[in-house]
Amino acid sequence: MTTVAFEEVAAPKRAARWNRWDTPWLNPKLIGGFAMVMAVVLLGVVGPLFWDITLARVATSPLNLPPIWVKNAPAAFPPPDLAHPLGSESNGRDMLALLMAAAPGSLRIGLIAAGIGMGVGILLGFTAGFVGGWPDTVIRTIADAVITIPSLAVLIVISAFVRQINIENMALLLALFAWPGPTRLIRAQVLSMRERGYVQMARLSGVSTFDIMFKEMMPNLLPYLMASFTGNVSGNILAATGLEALGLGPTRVPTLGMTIFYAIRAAAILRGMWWWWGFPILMLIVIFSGLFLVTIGLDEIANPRLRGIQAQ
Amino acid sequence: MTVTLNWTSTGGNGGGRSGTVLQVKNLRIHYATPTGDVIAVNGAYLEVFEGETVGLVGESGCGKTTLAMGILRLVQPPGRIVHGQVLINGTDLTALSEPELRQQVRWRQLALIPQGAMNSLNPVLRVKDQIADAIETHEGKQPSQALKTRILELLNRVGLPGRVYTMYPHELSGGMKQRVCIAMAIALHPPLILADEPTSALDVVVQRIVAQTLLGVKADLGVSMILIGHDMGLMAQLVDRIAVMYAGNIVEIAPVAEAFAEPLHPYTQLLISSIPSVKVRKPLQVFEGLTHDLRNPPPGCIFQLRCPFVMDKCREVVPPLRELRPHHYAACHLY
Amino acid sequence: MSQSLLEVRDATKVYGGGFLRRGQQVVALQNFNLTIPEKPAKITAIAGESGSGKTTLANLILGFIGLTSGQILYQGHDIGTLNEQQKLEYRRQVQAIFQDPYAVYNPFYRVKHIFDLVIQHFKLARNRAEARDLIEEALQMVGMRGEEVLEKYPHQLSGGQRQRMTVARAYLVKPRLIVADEPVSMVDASLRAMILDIMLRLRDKQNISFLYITHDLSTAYQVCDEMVILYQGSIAEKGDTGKVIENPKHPYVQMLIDSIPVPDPKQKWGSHLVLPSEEEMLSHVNTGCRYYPRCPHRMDRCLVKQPPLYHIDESGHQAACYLYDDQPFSEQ
Repeated sequence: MTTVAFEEVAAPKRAARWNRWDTPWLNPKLIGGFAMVMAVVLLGVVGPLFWDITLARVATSPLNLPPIWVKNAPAAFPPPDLAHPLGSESNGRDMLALLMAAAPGSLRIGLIAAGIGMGVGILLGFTAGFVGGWPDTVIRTIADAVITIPSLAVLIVISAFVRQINIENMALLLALFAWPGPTRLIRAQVLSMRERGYVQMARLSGVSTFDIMFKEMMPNLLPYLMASFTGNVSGNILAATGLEALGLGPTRVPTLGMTIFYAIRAAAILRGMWWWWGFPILMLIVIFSGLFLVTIGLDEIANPRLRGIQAQ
Repeated sequence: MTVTLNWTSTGGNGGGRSGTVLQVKNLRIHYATPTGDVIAVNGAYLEVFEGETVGLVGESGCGKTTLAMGILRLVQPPGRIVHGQVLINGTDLTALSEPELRQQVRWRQLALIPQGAMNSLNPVLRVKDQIADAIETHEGKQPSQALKTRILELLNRVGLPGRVYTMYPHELSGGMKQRVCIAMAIALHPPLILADEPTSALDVVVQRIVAQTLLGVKADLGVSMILIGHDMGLMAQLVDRIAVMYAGNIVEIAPVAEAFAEPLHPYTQLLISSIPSVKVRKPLQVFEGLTHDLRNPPPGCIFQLRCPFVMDKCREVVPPLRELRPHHYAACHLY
Repeated sequence: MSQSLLEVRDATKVYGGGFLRRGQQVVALQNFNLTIPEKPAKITAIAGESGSGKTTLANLILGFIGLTSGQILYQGHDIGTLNEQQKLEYRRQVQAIFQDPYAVYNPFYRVKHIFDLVIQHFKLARNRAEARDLIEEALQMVGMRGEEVLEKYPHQLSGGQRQRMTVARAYLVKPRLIVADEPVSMVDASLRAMILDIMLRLRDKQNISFLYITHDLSTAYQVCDEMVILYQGSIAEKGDTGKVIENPKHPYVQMLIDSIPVPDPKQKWGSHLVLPSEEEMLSHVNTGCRYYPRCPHRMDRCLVKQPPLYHIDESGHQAACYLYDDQPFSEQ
């Protein structure tokens, strides 16, 4: 008689790991990116408690101070001063205070514009996707048309005519072009979700169209929506910075883009005042990188297949 | 506990039983999860002889596809092979490196027709290009006329008209696409083909055509086959021997006629009695489903929670797979 | 003479066509007729392969799509002309079970969400306690207990459990008719009997009729009273289940039943099946009998006009084939 017996094999040790199935929200990219963005926000919120933000006003500080660690500054500049660790610029603004005021400003523009864009996008996208028919055709055609318009050119023209630009109406201007992307994305998602089993079940259970859209479909869309939102925020900050670098931004309140504009206008590059345009750019890099990481982190959460297969 | 495997009594069930094409010895495959390993395949034992078709049958989630992937060494992380050997014509696959596997073994000695194969045909390539691709990847560039003749001969062998040579997958019906996949699998004349649910998505009549194609291929070329499925009726028509799998364990192996006439393991009995037939109207028998946690199988027999004949011994000692009748193996303490 | 519960009259559904795509019409369902009586409760099988129109029929009856021509009458009322209130009432009387046990659950919510939805929208209970009792009763009918399953998420339950809960949900509404679209095809073989057994119990004890839509004739044979077999949008044969399966008259049905693998190794399939060239199979015949390309008994007249349903005997066994043209017929 042939016997086949089993060999007892000890069970391998458990591996304790982050970024696995039980807590998808502990995604390193999400956390890292969020930390970066939060650092910038904190700079703007908590910073003023420790540093005098009025130094961001014109003519409050000595001119053209290099940052504290610069050893052999050109003779044209005064020696660095501990009272202004990041230096100052030609208009007498302290750089550190300026960053504390400007970074949140740029973030706000992006957030408001993206917020409006997403809001409109959700409304129109759901309507077009779920209702279909002629509302869908109308919305889709308009969205497609707006996408093809070169937004920067139009924004330049419009801003040249707007008398007083501040953060709010800058955000509104940007929102004009921020809504078609989310609309199309949401419409596509809704179209595919419309045929899902649980949507059909909901229809059979007498659920109204509105409830189906916002209570059945929307919760499953949340990760996509959040990823789209953060992507939009960085896109809008970029567009805002582009406009500001041309001088078409808010004049009363400092923003990162306007700082760069003033720096270019005062020939800071030629004069070697790298700290004037360098720190805003660094800030922008931190913001964009942070938002990017958040976006792909959210993407991974929304789509578990992207979570990466770590080799054993 | 030592392993005692005695391979001498292999015996025959008709047909060319001269050699053993595949031997799977005590294969274990685990999947890592945050709360412990899921034991997907728990010490599987299987052998396939020359020219025979072995059916691997079981519920969904019992590990049949995982076992097939394990044989091919295609287990993806988080799964991994923890133990065991797979021998093809004497060569131990677990000892080979990945490049060696790719060049020498896969497709040349072992071909796979995966689940849903007809949906994995490249939609932008014509049929002739896909089959040529499979051939040339493993045998190098071929002279075009000889290649064309070879492909046409392959298509003919699976019962497809020559017209299919230049068609795109979307122009073919489901059954025709599946037969293209079979043609690709036999292109290099492998001694063993693994077919994972080859007819599950097809209509009944087309299923019969594809099944008869498989039978024809087996008769003409003498290939051995492992057919994975859950349709016992189809198994009865297609296979020579049948292996029943439950929750990662192989619980019974027998020639198919004996398995149906006298199923020894209680799970096999359950499977056979729950087949609805179009010949006889009988009252339905109701059974409970899989009840244990795959991470923590109960000690002893894997089937104890569902078995109508469970005894105390079953809860403590794992029943070994023993030959209870000639060539009829079962893992059960009842005998 | 009592009103019929559901009557489908001359239903036709055509996809495509229209202004820009005139040549690409697909006739999913053609002049389909079906009557389901008020009583006794019956399980009627709508069997056919993919492309036969059975899913289209389910969608039409459930009100997900509209008819191109014809009528669907529920207790005498045309369901295409119902207002919102009546539509809700219709939904209450006609429920459904679907094929995929996972897809019908919203992965965001716990499984009790599907019960909450029906109780809320059909106003079946006045307070939480009543609702809880109703859910518990429905779960008992399918052999489950609320405390074990209600608070779980869909992925934590097995396929068999999820499908049983779907049945419980349909039953909760106390409908008159349940449209079951392939309810067991994605459930393991050993668990199918459980679901089918529940259907039989609901028919016998609760007087609920079923439309059992499937491609698997073996399970249909076990539970259905009457069988309708569709081929490419038209009825090929219909009648009492036993008669149709044991003594099929339409050539397509004969081939279908012959091709079902018999679970007995000693009874292998008969002669090797030879079908005419694949190309003929792929083309759609637009006039005449749909089965013409594959039929071993085809005649010239089969190409001219779709054969009507001839009565084979008095019991209601009918087949749409000119082979029986000496019998009286009813227009399809």
